[in-house]
Amino acid sequence: MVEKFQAKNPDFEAVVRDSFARQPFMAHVNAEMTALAPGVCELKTVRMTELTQQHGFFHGGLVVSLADSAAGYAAYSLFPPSSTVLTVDLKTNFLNPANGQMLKAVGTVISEGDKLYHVKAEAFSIDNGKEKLCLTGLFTMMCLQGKSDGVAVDGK
Amino acid sequence: MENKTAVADPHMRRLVEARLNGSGFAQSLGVEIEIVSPGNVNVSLAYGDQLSDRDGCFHEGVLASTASVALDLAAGTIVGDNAEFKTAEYKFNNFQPACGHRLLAKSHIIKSGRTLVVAEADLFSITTSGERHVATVLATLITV
Repeated sequence: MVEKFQAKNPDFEAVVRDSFARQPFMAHVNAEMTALAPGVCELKTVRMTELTQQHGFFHGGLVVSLADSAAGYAAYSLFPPSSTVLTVDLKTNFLNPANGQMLKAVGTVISEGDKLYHVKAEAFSIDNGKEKLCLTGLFTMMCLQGKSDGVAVDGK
Repeated sequence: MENKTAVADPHMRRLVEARLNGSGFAQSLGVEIEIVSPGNVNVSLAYGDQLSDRDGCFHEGVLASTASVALDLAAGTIVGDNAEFKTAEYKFNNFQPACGHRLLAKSHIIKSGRTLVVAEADLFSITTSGERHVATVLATLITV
């Protein structure tokens, strides 16, 4: 992985992995964080029937979800201490059916600002070690400084 | 990254130039072709007050337009010089003001299908100290 950015928080890896471990939805789809570097995050999940759509491909919503989480944590890895991350917007293009045994998403930060981070994410369908690009997307992530990364109280 | 690339054509640059010359709007912006290869076209244009925003940098509309021109030209290198495209949709992420004496757009075809072409373009402002990545576009073009 090419590291284009420097982490502002020396504990970024522990902070990011702890946050990911506290996401019930990512646990629900058996997603694992398989690589992390400043500005780059890779997630993987293995095919289960529950994750597929009517053709037997990984459901498009799941592909976007994995890409969104990879993009979010790629951005979060560059955030200062005592902050949290939220997706502001995203746009994706589906390029090929995700019909492999495994799904991989890689988020890569393109640009960092004080509040907004622009992130590219790609998702790959993997079959017998062969990767196929199935989604590309552009995400905007917001850095919320001074906000807890824990469960929101009263929606705040 | 997966690329469906055409066989390199010695006339490709001339065809791309002809395509550019056919666009009155691109001409009015002053778009010039830099680099052409199958699925990739770089174009640039010079700064002028008529293209500026209130801050003296390139207007965002100029960035979007330049990206659009570059994407169309790149799609032409894959699908064929007689093909016509319209932009079905695109998303434009703007990172910072595009201040510089030139604007450079690097376009790249990600996937070319029978009907839709998915492509990206990165925009850079050029100053005496080098290139700055200022914006990116992710687009779908449709053959018409």
